[in-house]
Amino acid sequence: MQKKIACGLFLIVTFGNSSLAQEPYAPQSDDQILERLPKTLSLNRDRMASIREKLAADPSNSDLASAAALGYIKMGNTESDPRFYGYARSAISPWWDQESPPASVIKIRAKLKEKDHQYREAITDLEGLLKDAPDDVQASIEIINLYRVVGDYEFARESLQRLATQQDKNATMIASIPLMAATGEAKSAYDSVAEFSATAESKSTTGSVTDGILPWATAIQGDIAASLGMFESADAHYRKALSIDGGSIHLKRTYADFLLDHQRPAPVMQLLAEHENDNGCLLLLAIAANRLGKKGLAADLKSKLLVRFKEIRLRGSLPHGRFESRYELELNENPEKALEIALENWKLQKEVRDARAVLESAVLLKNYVAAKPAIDFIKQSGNEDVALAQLIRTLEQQQ
Amino acid sequence: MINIRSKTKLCLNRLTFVSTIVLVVLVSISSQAFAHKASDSYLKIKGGQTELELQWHIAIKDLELMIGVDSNRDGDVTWGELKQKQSAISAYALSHVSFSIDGSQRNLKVREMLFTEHSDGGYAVLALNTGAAGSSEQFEIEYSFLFDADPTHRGLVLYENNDASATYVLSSSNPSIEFEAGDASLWSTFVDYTKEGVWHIWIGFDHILFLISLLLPAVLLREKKRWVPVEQFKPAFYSVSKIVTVFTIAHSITLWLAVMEYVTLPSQWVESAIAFSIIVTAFNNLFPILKIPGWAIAFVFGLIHGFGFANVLLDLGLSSVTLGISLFGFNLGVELGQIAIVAVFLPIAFLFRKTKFYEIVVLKLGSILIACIAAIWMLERIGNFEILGF
Repeated sequence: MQKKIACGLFLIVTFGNSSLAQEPYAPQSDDQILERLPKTLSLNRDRMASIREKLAADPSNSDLASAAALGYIKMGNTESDPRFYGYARSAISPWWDQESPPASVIKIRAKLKEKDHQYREAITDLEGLLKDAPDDVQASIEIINLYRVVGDYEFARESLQRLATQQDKNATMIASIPLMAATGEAKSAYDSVAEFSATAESKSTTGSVTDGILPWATAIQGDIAASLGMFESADAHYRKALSIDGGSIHLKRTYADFLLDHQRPAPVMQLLAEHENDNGCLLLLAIAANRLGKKGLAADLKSKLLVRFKEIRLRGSLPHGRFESRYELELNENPEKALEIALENWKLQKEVRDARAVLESAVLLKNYVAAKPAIDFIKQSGNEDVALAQLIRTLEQQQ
Repeated sequence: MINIRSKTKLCLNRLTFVSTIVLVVLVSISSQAFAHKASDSYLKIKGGQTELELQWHIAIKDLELMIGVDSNRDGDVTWGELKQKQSAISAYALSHVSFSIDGSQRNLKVREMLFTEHSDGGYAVLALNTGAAGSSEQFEIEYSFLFDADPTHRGLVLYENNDASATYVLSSSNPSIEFEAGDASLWSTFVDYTKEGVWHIWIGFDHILFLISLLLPAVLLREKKRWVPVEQFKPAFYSVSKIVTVFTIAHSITLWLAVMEYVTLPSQWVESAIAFSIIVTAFNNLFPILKIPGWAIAFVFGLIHGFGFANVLLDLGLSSVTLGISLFGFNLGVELGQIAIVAVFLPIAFLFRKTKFYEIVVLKLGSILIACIAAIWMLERIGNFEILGF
């Protein structure tokens, strides 16, 4: 009954629908471009069509389903468009609610849950899988990352130890670097990944390197360098990563973030120009435009972002707390709201950006108390991020 | 999925790389999750005019998947390409929705295709003839568009008439709805918000405890530093009515200020201050430190509680059309909820007012208990952690 009332309310209120989209019209010219399709779609069209065809003929084949889903997840990562995650979910839909699907499917399912910020549910899936198959390297790496994202470093370390016994050095490295970087071993993480990159580059003759691990290693070198305050190296790593994997939106966003941190909004406009569709990019573009004093453009981007948030809410989802908090802080000048959202997001995930969202709004509000749990967490973890350290110092001085 | 077989040393042969690539693809940092908006279509229904208007906005990206609209495969979908596929789009789309109005299934026809943009890109707009009157009352929609290909897809039904608007979400687990235009009327908005107000008092333990700690001494009088029971029901009743009414007036003022965004306070402060108000009020029952009557306490603290109500109301969302009616309904609901509490509390308290049990157990121990609970709330709310869990 109550649910019905709440539902009814949600229904009635929301907002003037007209604010969502402009009045529909018939374009004047047949040549008017209405939509630029994701590049990955044309690149993978034939391959995915063939996998889908096979899957359609044999929908209960979990290997085919996993292959199709994996293909879509990759496309989703490239475009950071959740549509593709939806397609992936469709491929594994026969197993979506099953207690113990085949291992390959569980891993996909966990990944899709993670993409939807259901970190705990993803962890549960993988824990179940690892109970039966403790030597599943893939699942181990995934779960270590998930534990790290939600801040359960102890569990992450335990899983890492188990993974290390399997003598798969590459896998162990991939899993350990981000964890070390977050827990007080950033310098040695940086050195290991640097060593890895050097070896990888020297052996890079096949071409496969360029679409795989090297961009990841180079980008994470950039992240760790930035975290340690080695800004020039970070800049060089990021640019190198972009030169080998210029298509990654995630990478562009990370670099844009870095540029904004170092008061270089101008290149951000160019870097992200084609990625307004990505919420994070749109946010960074709006911030950059704002800092460059391009008032009209900033206002335009800001209102686009606001409509995006509204439309996400309308479908019953929530915008990413990290983005929304930063929007409130930097574009809407509402640090109270920013802090509230950041704290809510902090309950869910505990990466550096999540901590910054809390600390930055707390600094503006001179609210040490609200930031205290995040500060304690960071100190306890040993995270060496220089930006976090500076924010904590400011908060402590304000006290 | 490919498992990496163990390698004893840092080995970068091709095979390892291929498998590691898969790893990295999957492991790639989680926080890029749902950076876009997922797939939605919008079914806009406009009543209140001569004919019922229906528009269906479908993302061009989704049409590309289902029908293939980029005929020349250059990655750009033009208006010309979209028009070329109009009949295929219409046929496919209309075979995935069924629409009944006032009990009879409608044969939808595409009048024209248009274009618009939503925040995540271009949408084809099918303007549909429903053959139904704008005054139609009852709607049933069954929707199966795209769910097969994308179970995370949503169909968003946006109904609007002259009075109000309503939104319904269709999903693969909830693919059909029935609703009445009346659901979006001002009256039903008012009723819903009134219910919500009552409900908020009912589940809002802090408001209940505040009210109770204010009401506990209402059947007693403070004379020469001692509590003495009131003689008659009437003065107790008046005193209680005054407290409840003044509380309502006070929280109505700040509720309005906050909802109109004339004054905004961080909810953490507000919630902590509400807990503080309960501590003070309960404490005041033990040691009357506040040299003001109960109704004045109710007024001052009512101002704080109003901000708390506002947060609830803002979370529910408000439209400008229905703002006034929603506010009024919510306030009325809160008032009704309070009256219900008083109606239960007052007769019982009056009955037992002369007993030591009332003075010692109910008033004194009760106030101590309330103060303790509120103190824990205050800690929780300031520190942003959970002890009690309610």
